[in-house]
Amino acid sequence: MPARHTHRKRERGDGVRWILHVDADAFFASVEQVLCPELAGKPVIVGGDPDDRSVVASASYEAKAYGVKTAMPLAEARRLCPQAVFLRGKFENYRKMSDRMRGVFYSFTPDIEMASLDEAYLDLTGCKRIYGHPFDAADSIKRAVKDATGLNVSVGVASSRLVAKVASDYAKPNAITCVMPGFEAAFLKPLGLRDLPGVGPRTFERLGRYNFKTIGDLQVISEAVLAAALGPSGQALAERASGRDFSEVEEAAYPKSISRETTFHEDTAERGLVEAMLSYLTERAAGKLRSIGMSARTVTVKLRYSDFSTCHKARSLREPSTHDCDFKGLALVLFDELFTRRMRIRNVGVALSSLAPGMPHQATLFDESGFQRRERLYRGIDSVRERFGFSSILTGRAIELIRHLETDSHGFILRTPSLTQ
Amino acid sequence: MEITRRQKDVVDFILDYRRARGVPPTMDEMAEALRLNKKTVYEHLQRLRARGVVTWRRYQARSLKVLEGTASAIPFFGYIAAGAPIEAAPLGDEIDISEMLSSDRESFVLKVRGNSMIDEHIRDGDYVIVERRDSAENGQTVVALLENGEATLKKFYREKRRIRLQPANPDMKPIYAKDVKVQGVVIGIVRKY
Repeated sequence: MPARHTHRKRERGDGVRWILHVDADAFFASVEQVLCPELAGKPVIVGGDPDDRSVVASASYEAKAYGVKTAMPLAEARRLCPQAVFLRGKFENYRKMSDRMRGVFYSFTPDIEMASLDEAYLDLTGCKRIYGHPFDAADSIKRAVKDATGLNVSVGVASSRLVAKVASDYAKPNAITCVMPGFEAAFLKPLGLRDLPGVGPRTFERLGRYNFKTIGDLQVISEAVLAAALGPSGQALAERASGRDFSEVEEAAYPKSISRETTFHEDTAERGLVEAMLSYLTERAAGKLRSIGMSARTVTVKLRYSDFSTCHKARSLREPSTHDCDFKGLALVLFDELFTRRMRIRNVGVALSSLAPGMPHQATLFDESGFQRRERLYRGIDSVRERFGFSSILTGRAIELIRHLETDSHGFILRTPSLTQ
Repeated sequence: MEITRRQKDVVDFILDYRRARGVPPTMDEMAEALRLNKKTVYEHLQRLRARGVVTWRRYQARSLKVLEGTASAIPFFGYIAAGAPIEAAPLGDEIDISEMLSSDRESFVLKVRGNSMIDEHIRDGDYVIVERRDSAENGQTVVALLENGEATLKKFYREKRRIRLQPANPDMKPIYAKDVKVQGVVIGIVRKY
């Protein structure tokens, strides 16, 4: 990870901040089309085989034309677009392309923030003399990405991250949208509330009850009223609706959370199997956690029943940990509390959050708690897994999965291969 | 979204009524106000529903809803000349000024023809997002209606006794005019590839 750029950029030149939001169009599907030119121009759906029970991770624009959407069950996607090419996808390829995109951005400015594999913020404040107007810079960046990766991106150019993000979405795919400084609120005004980052399905529904439909509807309401209607988030929402956003483009020094999840091959109500999967996913997440030298304190378990209703629950450890056993114990307790409906389970996931660098545990002279032994144990397990693959060592409950799943060097072959890291 | 003039009247009436009374009108009220048969109003509404413009709940009075508020809700009006105001454009591609003026939308999108705004990064074929305004500040890029009824895209400068419409292209001369009707100010540019 490169050095962080935490300095606050002074406003220079025309006195305006210029932020670009660059977002790859239909990323996974486009990468597949680039790597396999026969797929160009064809509907491509990444997520799994059409009879898989997983969901669409990414659909090419040719597939989207048939109404295929991200996160739609693959079976439904097949109904809408039976001629589509269904691919399982490979995370490795996506990361490579993402790194290449990042390289292109880096050649323009060090002030970049990869918000995810396929999108980034670039701060071009004060770069007018080097690249010309940011709109022209966006044009050069777009071409450079196309040359380096073959991918089309959409770019939003504006005076803040928030407006740049909305702008990149405005004319997607394969477009640049520039919002003139000073006209942020006017630009946002006619757009629907769902276009405003931070308005998820629940906020949208709540706002709908007050008959708020467009971002402009919020602009005319005072912050106090919004705060009364929505609670503390109301004020932040009012700020965003007016296009005010002063957050910096800053590379996160470390991730906010590490999560692993999977969809079962077949919905299951077998407690043992779900617990086994949960403990396996927790181990994977914890392994990742140790590999980046972090510790975590909060565990979140997510369940999705076969009727697609989803629930989650989180709890924190008394102090940060890096040990599988701490997280697994908590994850299983949370699962026990969550699994209340008499319905089969479709999907299960676990996330570790409240991350902090290093292991703050105080070593004691006498190892009463067995902490140092566990420390050595996990160090040992990690190094074996590094050499022989994740499934070379399985612990306790995860053994249960052997009856159900095939393995490869990465571990069990799960249902969301495009995301199997 | 192509809708007929009469259908537009129906939608406008629903919106106006809603604004004035806070509830959508009933079929009877619409029929009376628009001087139409109730059946005819219903047919208009059915067509509008098929186009996704309105929706309502069955058997429920005053449940009409006009659907709007997505990114595509900004209407695309046509072309704007960014060169000499009179440009050889195929018939039918010209911007429909009357429609632009009559609409009560607060912003709209125009496709640019010509290269007079090249220094402002607006190229032939780009789209501009315009907010309806009847005045502008110096240096802003505006859609202006000239005395002869032509619409053009230029930078706006108010001088002592006249208004200068400055192209952002060194090869082109400014247009001077006494009376310029500003139709709107450019708030965004979109380039599709």
